[in-house]
Amino acid sequence: MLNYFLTLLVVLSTLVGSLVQANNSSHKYKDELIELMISQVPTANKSDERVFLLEYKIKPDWHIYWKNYGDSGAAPIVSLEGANLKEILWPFPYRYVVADLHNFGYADQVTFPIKVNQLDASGKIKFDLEWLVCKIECIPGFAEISYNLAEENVNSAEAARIETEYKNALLRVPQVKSDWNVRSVDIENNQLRYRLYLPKNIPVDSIQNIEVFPEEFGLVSNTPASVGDVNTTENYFELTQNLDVNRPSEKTSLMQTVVLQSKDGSHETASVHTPVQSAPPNYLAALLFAFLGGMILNLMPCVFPILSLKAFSFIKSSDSQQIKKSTWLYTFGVLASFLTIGAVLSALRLSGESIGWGFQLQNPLIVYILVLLFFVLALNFFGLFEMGDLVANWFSGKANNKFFSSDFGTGVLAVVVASPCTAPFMGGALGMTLILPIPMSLGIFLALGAGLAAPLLLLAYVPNLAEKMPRSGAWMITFKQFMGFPLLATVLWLLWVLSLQIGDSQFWLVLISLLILAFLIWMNSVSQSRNMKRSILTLGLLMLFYVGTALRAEPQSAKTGAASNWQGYSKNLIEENKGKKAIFVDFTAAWCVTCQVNKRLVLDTDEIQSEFKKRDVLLIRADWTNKDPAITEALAAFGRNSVPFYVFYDKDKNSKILPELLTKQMVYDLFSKEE
Amino acid sequence: MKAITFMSVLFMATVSWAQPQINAAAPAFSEVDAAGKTHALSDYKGKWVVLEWYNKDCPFVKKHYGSKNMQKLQEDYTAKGVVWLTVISSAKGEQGYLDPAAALEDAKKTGSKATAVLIDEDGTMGKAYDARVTPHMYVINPQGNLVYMGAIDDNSSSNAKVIAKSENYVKSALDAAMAGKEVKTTVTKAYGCTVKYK
Repeated sequence: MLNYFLTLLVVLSTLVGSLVQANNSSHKYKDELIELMISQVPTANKSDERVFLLEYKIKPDWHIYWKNYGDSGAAPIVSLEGANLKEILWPFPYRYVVADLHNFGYADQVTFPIKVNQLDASGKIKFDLEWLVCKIECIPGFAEISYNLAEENVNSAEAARIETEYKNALLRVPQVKSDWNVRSVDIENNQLRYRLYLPKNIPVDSIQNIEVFPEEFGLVSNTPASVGDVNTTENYFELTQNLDVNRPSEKTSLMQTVVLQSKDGSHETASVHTPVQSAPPNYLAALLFAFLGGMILNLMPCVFPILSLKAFSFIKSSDSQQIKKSTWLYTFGVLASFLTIGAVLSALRLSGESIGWGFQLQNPLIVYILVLLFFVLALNFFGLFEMGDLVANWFSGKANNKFFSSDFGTGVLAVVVASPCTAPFMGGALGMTLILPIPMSLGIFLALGAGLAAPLLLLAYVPNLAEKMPRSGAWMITFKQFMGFPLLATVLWLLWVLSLQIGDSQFWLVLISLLILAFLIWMNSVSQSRNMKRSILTLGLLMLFYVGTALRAEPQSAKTGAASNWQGYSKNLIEENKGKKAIFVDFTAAWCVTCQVNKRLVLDTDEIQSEFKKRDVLLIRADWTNKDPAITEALAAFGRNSVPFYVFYDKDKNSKILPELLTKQMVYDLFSKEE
Repeated sequence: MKAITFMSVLFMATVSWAQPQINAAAPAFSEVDAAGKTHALSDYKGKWVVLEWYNKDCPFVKKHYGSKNMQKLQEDYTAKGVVWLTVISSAKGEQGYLDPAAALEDAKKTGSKATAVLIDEDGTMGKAYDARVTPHMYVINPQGNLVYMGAIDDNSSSNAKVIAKSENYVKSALDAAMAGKEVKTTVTKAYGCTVKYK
């Protein structure tokens, strides 16, 4: 009797056991056209996030679709019960042409990694799947697959397979890559032509086939991009696509998935930002803006005191001709310096570096050198020493000392001190240098220089200027001392920038070095012996050198402003919230004066902060104080390489770019459309 | 310029396709319906016109007909004086093709309330409108201009249960335009099965 029951028990438990086994392996679906399976990727677990693989096997000659299905079809749909679908990762698609219609999708097999979060405590998830599989005719398919995280039972061989499959799938998902760039965009008659620059490790002549798939509907046609020029020196393809005549005018750009097939059959893919603006950049307008920006730079506290040096020379000289000649030399100094900066930026651009105006200030060593420069200048203005005296003794009487107090030298100095400042109008003009051919972008730098030099040049040509100038006198010394204060203000500001870039102990080193420097300069000016002066100067230079090399940029914890309502820059955060919330992105840097002004007077005021809160706007501050490739790339996507830059996304994903100088009314106007 | 071999032929294949434009004149057409009567766009100047591309075997068309969603739209708007034309551009022998008698029979069976069913066997009307899938919807105003073109609604699932929660673009466009207001969504991506042209 007992034996009978025991046997029954064994039989029953085996039966039950096999049922349980069936449940574990039932994360599958199969019909005549589609076989699919869902597995979890155990190594990709984060605290509240899981990754699943949705693996499709498709009958030969049939295909399913990509997120943008092209001219016809329907993308696969995944809904979840028991968890939240965070993201589906789409591997790059293939092109299927059926009777003149271009569709984007997958044949044979494809694996979609799926990110899931907000899991139910029970660990049970139900996947509701729908897809459309087509050959010529189309057949919709449905499947419901239940997954119980608690009952997972995967052997090590399967786990290894899942891991490999996941890694391979990820490689096929296009990412935004900062070294794939779209430049030289030209739009005419609804035709979009541009250059796609590739990184050096993917030479254009190793590519057999290039495909461009729009990630969104309605902006470009789904027909293939045609390839024009293939340039091996600069490593780019010239591509042409047809724009959709019905595209909405507010959409200025489009993300496209580019797929490169090498001669050896391997693939490279990336998600590339393509402008679809209707109006090509107006070069004349850019030149004008650069010129205006250059003129306004004269008013910036960095530059203005230097101008007074120049103005004094007008007063000292009694000869109008002399004034004109010296101002022209000054102008050449300015132009030459801007041209040099433009040449350096262009060279860096060619070598693939993505940098922008003001990038030099992302390096604390450069900021330190500027601190020293302004500090020494301020000491000079206060009368602690004479410039000629300092330099002459170092070079022991050689003619070199002429350079720094020469007119040309003053011009160079003016540009150097202008570098921390960005005037209104400059941003857009500078941004264009990113996409213009080099000679044209150098033209923009020259226009900047012309603008900077223009006021003084105009002044020099005022008839009988020498007579109109006030008489030289003691007041000039007082005025010069007074000008020392804006210079000191600039020093303080630059020190603040530095404090955000380096560690505390290094910062103290910088402050102490300033004190010692001031002392040494004073000693130099009171000392009588030439040898003494020499050794003081040598000591000074050594100290500065030591401090300079000790400076290292340290990543700072995001100091996000008084109200701390601003989030740090994150591309994912923006993409996730587009269409759900309004988003305001503030591209700023500590070393950007205009940015700070906009913050104090508009963005961080209580009035505007409460308006943002009222409208439930997601506030994002992209801090470019230190080098940040993600932010550099985000700026480049808008055709910019400088700050400040402000972009606002409304709930319909329309973007609006605001000017460099903000007013409160501009912020209010952002929301007036909703009324 | 180095020569590079490309596997696929890359040229613009838009030669055969028109690109109708919103707020511009809708392409002219003249087609015979299932009852033998000829309809031209010019006949309907002064009236609202809806064009609906149809394929009885397409799962996405079945979604809207099986649920009676399409028939209700037809009924509601023809009652307001809208001319609703169902168009079949399938070539003979292709999926969805119906000869005039079969088309009349099919319309009776589905309970279609369309004004007429146009048989566009050679596909010229479809190509003129760049109709790519079924259902592909167009709304034309009394002046003869296109005010909407694209999908019937915003959910491309073929499961009829989503219809209740979907935004119907045709309804939105007609309601706004007929009241003299601006149409919010003028162009969308149509979903469905490809039109089986010749």
